[in-house]
Amino acid sequence: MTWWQRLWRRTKMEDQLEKELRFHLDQHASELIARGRSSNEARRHARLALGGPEQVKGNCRDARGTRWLEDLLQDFRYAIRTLRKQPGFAAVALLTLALGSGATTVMFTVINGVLLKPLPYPEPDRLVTVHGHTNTWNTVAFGEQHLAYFDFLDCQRESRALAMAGWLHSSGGTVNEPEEPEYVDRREISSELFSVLGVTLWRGRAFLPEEDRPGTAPVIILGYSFWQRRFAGNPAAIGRSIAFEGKRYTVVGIEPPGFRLDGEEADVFTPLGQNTAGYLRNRRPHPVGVVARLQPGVTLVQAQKELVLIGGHLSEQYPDTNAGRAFEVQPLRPEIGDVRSTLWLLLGAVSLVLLIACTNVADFNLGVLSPSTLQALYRAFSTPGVRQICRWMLCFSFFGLII
Amino acid sequence: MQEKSDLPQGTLDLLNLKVVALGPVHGYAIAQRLEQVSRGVVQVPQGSLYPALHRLENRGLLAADWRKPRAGLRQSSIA
Repeated sequence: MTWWQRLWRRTKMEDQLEKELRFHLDQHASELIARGRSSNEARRHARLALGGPEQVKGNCRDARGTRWLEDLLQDFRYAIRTLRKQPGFAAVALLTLALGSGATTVMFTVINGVLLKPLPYPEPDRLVTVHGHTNTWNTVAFGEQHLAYFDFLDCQRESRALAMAGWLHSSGGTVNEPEEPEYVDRREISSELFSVLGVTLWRGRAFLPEEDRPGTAPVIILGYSFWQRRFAGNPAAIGRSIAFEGKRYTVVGIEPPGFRLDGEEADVFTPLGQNTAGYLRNRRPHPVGVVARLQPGVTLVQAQKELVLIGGHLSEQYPDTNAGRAFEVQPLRPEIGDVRSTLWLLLGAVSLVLLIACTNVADFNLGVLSPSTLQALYRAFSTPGVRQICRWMLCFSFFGLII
Repeated sequence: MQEKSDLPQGTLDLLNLKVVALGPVHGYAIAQRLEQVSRGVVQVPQGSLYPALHRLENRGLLAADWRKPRAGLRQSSIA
């Protein structure tokens, strides 16, 4: 029989062992009887020659190499028997373990969903954000410092290491047509955003660079949910015009579902370059968020060095606004703010709880035994039987955990 | 009573294989043959025999045939 078969047909195997040894003893005894010994003496001699059959069988089982699993199964059965005899204790133990493992599972699911899932873009490890850095900016209070629009344009033009795109979380507005007015969330984005992120539009197209300038025809891209809501998912929405904040925009594209910028799904997107507001047209304020993709073969360090140079140039060129302003590049991470460290802390805490729960159950196991048994256990700890005991306890706890 | 084998483990395996190579044979016959061959020279403890056979089976060098009425006919599985 193969190893596998031996595992699953233990009874048969034990049977065979028994038969084989008995046959051996019979043969040997018959031979001895033939040589003139008495029946009893022959049997005794044969038995002695073979050695204790149980021990031989044990050695055979060892030779099979399935011993550990059989022992484990034996421990399991013992655990089941004991649990059945004391259902109250079993209930408490199971509850403790369930609480511990339940909490850990929930925590881990949350962490998995939030922290461990990669960004839904192609080659997400090549994506970075570019932040501004000035000593006077309070990151804790205001979040990461962004870039002035003109700074962004200059960096974009001069950088060889990064393909950059900008976005602005500016005010929303009212969409008047078609149907009733609705207040919507809006993002202003540069034309390269979707190509930098590697996002394919659901329908239509992204903004063209020509449209990303002041004074060009107003175009708009719709968010997926907004499109479903407002246009009932009608593909003919492309090319229609909607009135947004009093202006007519032509729909040129639809976002894919679930696209998030700055942590939220926006309703509409308009070209950043068409915004002629004053706070974009001077270098002092820095409202534009920047995402970028490392060009092939470029490392983060190289990109950072390049931005340091560009920042330096700008500081010299525009000392009133850009003095002391540097640019930093960092890998793009999902927008969850400060929650990250809290989540890891919670995971650690919950794992600890699970550990405590298991230990408690193991303690219960000890408590259940009578004092004499405890004494025996104590003695047992100084003998090789320790492994057996530990395995038994482990099985007990593990069995409870599985349930 | 289990006698300690004064044979290195590999030797017993080899002897078993040698005996079985002559033809299918059951455990007791192997013990007999080994006794004949080594009489006066080496003691082959019978208690080590069966674990050794099982080990060889485990390694795939022997196959045990249980269909015959005689229990546990061992034959070599390397032709």
